[in-house]
Amino acid sequence: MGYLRFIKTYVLLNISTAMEYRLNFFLQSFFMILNNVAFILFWYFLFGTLDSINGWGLQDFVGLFGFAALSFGINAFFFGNWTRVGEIIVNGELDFYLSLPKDELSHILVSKSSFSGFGDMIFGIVILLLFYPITLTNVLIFVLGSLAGALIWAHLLVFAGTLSFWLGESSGFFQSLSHLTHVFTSYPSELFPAIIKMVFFFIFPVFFITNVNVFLLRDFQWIWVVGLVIVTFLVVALTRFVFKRGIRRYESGNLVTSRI
Amino acid sequence: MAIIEVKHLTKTFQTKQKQSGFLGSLQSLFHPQRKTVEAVRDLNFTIQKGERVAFIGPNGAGKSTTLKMLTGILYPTSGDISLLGYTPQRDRKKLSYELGTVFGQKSQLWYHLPPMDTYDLFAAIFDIDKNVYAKRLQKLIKQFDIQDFIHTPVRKLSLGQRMRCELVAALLHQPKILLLDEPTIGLDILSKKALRNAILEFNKKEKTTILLTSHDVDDIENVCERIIIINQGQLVYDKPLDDLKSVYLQKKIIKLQLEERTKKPLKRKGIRVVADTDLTISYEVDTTRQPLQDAIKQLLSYHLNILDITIQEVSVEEIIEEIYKQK
Amino acid sequence: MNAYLALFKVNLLERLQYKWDLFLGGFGTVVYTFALFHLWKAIYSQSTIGTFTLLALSWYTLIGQVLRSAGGRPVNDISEQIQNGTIVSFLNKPVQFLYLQASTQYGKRLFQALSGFLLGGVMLSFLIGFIPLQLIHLLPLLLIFFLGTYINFILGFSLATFAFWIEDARPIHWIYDKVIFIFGGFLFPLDILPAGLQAISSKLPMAYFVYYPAKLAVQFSWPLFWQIIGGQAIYILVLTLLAHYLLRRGTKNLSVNGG
Repeated sequence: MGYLRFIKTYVLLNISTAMEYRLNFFLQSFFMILNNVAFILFWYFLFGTLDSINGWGLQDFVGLFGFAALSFGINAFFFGNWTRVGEIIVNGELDFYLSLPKDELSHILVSKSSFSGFGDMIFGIVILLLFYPITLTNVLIFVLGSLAGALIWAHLLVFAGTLSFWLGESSGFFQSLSHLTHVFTSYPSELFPAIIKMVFFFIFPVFFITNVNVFLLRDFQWIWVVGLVIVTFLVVALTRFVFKRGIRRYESGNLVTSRI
Repeated sequence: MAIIEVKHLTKTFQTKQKQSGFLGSLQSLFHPQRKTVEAVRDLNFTIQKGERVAFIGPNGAGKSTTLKMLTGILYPTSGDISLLGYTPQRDRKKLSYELGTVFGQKSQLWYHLPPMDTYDLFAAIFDIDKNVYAKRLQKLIKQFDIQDFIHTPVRKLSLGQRMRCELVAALLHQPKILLLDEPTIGLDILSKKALRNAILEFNKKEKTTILLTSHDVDDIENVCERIIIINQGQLVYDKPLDDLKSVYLQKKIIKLQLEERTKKPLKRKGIRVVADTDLTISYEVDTTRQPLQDAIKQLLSYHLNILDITIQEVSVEEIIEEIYKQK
Repeated sequence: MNAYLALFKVNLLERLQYKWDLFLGGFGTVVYTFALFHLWKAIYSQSTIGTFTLLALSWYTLIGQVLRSAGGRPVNDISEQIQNGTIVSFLNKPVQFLYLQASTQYGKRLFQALSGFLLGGVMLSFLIGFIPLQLIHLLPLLLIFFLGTYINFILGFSLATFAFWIEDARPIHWIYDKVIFIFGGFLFPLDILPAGLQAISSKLPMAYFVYYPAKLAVQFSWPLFWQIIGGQAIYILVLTLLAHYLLRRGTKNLSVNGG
C-alpha cells in the first residue's frame, strides 16, 4: 500500500535526521527522562506519609504518569507536528501539504519528529514495566492503551489547532488546551467532581488518554475497552472532518494585521 | 490545447486593522475593524501546452495568490479555473500528480539530509514505482548535473546546487506543468545562468509547460516566450515577449562619458535626458521620431569633448515599470 | 531609564493585541490550581501538609503559579538572543542589555500573571473561600513578589549567559525549570520534601522566588517578611554582580570570535 511506504520513508527520514545529530538526540532524550524523574519524585515525596489518596496509591499515580509519558512520547516522536497544526495553518506552511497527493493531516503529523519524544517513550515504558507485573494482559494494555491514548491526545490537540482556520492566530487558546491535556492526563479522574468527570470523559475526553488505561490495569473490564475504542474512533473521525472543512477557509498566510 | 484556463478569477481577503497607541489597542480589543482587500480581480488568461510564461507584477500584485488558486491551495471567491481539465480545488490531489512546484524562498529539501533522501520521500509520496523512479532519477541527475553532491547534506550545498536539486525534486513525478516562484532568488550570475539553461533544456525535451514568477528580468528574458503582467490584482499586459520588445525597443539609451562639463544637456525632438551626473549623461532616443544615426550625429557635434560613448537597449525592467505606470 | 520604561510599555501593549491570549494566558494557571486543589482536598480529608490549612495551601498553589508565570522564561528567551546574534545589536546602544531584558520580561508577562491571578482567584473564592490576607499587608507583599521575580530573572539571566560558551543552551533551561519545580516550591510547598532536602532547598535562591513569597501571601507575619527580604537582598546583590560579570566575559568572548 502506498501509505505504508510513505510512512515508513518518513520514519526512516526522521531517524536519519536524529542520527545526523546523534549527540543532540541523546542529550535531549536524556534530559527529557530527567525531566520526568522530577515528577516521579514529587509523587514519591507526597506518598512518603500517605498510603493512598481516594483509594489510589503510588502505583496508580505513577502508572498514569507512565502512560502520559509514553503516549506523549509516541506523538512527539512519530507525529512530531501534533502541536503545530495551528501554527502551520497561520504561517501558510499548509501550502506544501496541500500541493501533494497524500492525505494532508496524516502528512502533517508524520513529517516532523521531536527527538525528546524518544526519551519520553523510553521513560514511560521503563516506568510501566517497573511498577506493574509483566503479564500478557498488562503488556497488551501497555501497548494498545498507550497507542489509543496517543491517538486521542494527538487528535484533541489537532482539533484545537484546526480552529485556527476560523480564529486565525490563536496560539494562546491552543497553549491553554494543550496545558489542560497535560494536567488532566497526570491526575486520577477520581479526584474531581462529577461535572468535571462528565466533561473530560464525554465532551473533551482527556480522561480516556491515561485514566482508562489505569482503570484497566486495576480491574480489567470490557466496558472500558469498548469505550476506549469508540472514543478513539470518534475523536479521530471528528477531527479529520473539521480539518477537511477548514481547508476550504485556508488563507495561506494572507491574513495580515495592518496598522493604520 | 489549452492547459491552463482562468476565467473571471477573483479573490478577496478580510484583514484586521488597528489604531495605534493604547486606546487603539483597547478599541481593537472590543471592536476590531475589518477591511476587505481584493487580491485578485476578474483575471482571465489561457496558457497552451509547452508554453513558457512569465507571470510578473510588483509585490502584493496578487501573483502568489493566483498561483495558489491554480494549485488548489486557495479557494477563489468567484470565477473558474481549469488545469488539464481539472478544477484545482475539487481535484487537488489528482492535479498534484501533474504539477511540479519550486519556491525559491521555501525549500522542499530536508535541510539536514542529502537530497537523495528527499527524493526517496517524494517517490513514496507520489507512489512512483521503484524501477521507474530509479530510471527517472538517473535521467534528471544527468540533465541537471547534480551527480557530485546528491549524497551531501543540503545544508552543505551552495544555493545554486540546492536550487538544481529542488528542481529535480519537483520534476520526479514528471509533472506536465511546472510552477517556478522566484527560482533564482539569491543566486550568483553563473548559477542563475546554469539554472535557466537547465530549465530551457528541460522544456524543449519534455514539452513541460512553465509558469514562472520572478523579479529578475533576465530570468524572464532568457526563459520565457510570453509575459503576463498583473498589477493590483488585475491583468495589465499579456503578449509575447517579442511584441513587448518590438514596441519598447524602439527606444535606445545613449550614454556619454565627458572629459569636462561645459554645457547643459542637449534638447531635441525625440531625445530626452534620463540621467545626468556631472561627467556622464544618458539620453533616451525615441527612434520613431529621431533616427538613431541622426541623434548620434547631433550629440557628437553638441558635446565636443566625449571620452566614451555606449548605446544600449532599454531594459525589460524599465519597460515593465513603464507598463505599471501606464495602468 | 525612559528607554526601559518605553520597552516595558511596548511589550505590555503588544500583549493587548491578542485579546484571547490576554484572557487565556492565565488559563494554564487556573487549570493547574484547579487540579492541585482537588488533590489537596483529597489529601486533607485524611492528613495535612506542613502548617498550611487547606484554604492557605490552595491559595499558595495559585500564587506559586502566578509568580512562576510572571517570572517567565528568562533562560530560554535570553540565551536565544545571545545565540542568534540579536544581542550584538544592543551592545552598541546606550542601554544596558541586562535591564533591557528585564523590562521586556516584565512587560511580556505582567498581564498573563494578572489574568492568572484574577481568574484563579475567582475560582478559588468559589471553591473554598477568599485569600486569608489583610489589605494592609498588600504593599509589603507586592514588594516581596517583585524582588522574588527579579531573583528569578537575574538567576535566569546568569544561566543564559552560558550560551556564549556552549552550543545548545536549552538543557540549562530544562534543568533550571526542574530545579524550581522541586526546590523552588512551585506546585507544592517545600514542606512535603524529606527533612534533609527541605533544609537545603529552603536556603537556595529559588525558594526566595516562589516558596517564601507564596507562603507569606497566605501566612503573613512581619518576622517572616523581614527574613524573606533579607534573603532576597543578599541574593539579588550577589546574583546581579555575577550577571554583570558573566555578561562582560561573554561579550568579550563574542568579539574575540568575531561576533
